[in-house]
Amino acid sequence: MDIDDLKPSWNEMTSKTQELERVQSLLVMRAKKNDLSAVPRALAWSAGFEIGFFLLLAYLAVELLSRDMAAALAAPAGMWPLLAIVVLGLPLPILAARRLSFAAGIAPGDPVAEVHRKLIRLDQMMARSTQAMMGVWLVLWAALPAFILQLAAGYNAVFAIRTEWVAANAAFGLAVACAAVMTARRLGPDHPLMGRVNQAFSSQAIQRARRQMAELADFER
Amino acid sequence: MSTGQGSAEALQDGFVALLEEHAGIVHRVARMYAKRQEDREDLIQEIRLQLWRGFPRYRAGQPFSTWMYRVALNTGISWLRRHERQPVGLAEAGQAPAPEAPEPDPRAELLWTLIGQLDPLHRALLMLSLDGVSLAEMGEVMGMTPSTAAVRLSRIRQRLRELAAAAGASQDLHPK
Repeated sequence: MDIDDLKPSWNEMTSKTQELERVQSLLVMRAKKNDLSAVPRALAWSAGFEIGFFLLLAYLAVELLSRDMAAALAAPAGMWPLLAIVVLGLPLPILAARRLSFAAGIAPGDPVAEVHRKLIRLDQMMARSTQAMMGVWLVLWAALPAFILQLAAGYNAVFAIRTEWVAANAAFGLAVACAAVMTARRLGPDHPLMGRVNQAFSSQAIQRARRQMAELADFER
Repeated sequence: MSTGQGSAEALQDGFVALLEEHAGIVHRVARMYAKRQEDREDLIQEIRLQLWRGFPRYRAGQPFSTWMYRVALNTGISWLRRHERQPVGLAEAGQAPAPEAPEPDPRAELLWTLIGQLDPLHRALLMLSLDGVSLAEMGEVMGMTPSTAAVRLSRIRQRLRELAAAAGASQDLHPK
């Protein structure tokens, strides 16, 4: 068995299908020539979600502080919730912008191994962003109902948050993170129930990217 | 050829002519990375779209086939990476990129079985070799030196022998 042994089958297969598919593909090409909207949708959606979530958090923090800073400082948990909103929310748009900028630098006309390396790197960045996003969400999920309450009823729910509640929520987030990691390890990365978010959250996507990077290094040797 | 000048129509006509000349590359890459017929059609569209979008950046000094191989293979591998993440049935996992209906030709079946067991980069190199691309051009397409490409091809040969032996492939692959 050698590559040359496969060539007759390869050539035969190619000649059988090529003519029919060529005619069909040119027809479709003419119909779709102006369709340039094929941006990486998953990338755009995740970045949009992260930036949107940050804008929501920033709006909430600015609104609360500008409306009644004295009340914010005198709230049961003091400045904790607002500080958490600003500090934890800030990396999200930075990560999203960095990822989008990196993705924009991937040109399909570059050498295959180079593009492959960048795609793996992009996967790592996506997984780390997802981890950051999930981590922030687990601690700050209450910001969303607080935002809705404020918009709908003018009630500043963040002012009612106590320090104990902030600590308990962080502990709850940690527990959910541990449960996700244990579930992921039990099911394995290829299990159909293991969604992309869960894989990313449990670091399996990063591990897979590391393995792929090692395979690529071996391929290039 | 000048890709930065002329009307949009001339650019499009030039692109369509080149695409027509090298149409086989698109279809062979799609065949290499997509299992089902509808997936192949989807991938063909995506490759063609990437070629059209990237065409203004194609440098005239570079052979068109080299650039086209790069774009098509990068799109195919990227497509495979995306679709590998989607849940598939156990029967589909790890199988060759064969069409839905079984190939009537046992040699073709064996070909796709062997190809399906290689990783995406090795598939790319194997495809270039089967297409008769020179080691120098393989290096250009893949981003490696010709000697590295030769070493990798040697490893692929070894791997194919192992896979064929494991599959019990003693049949003659040459057409009668």
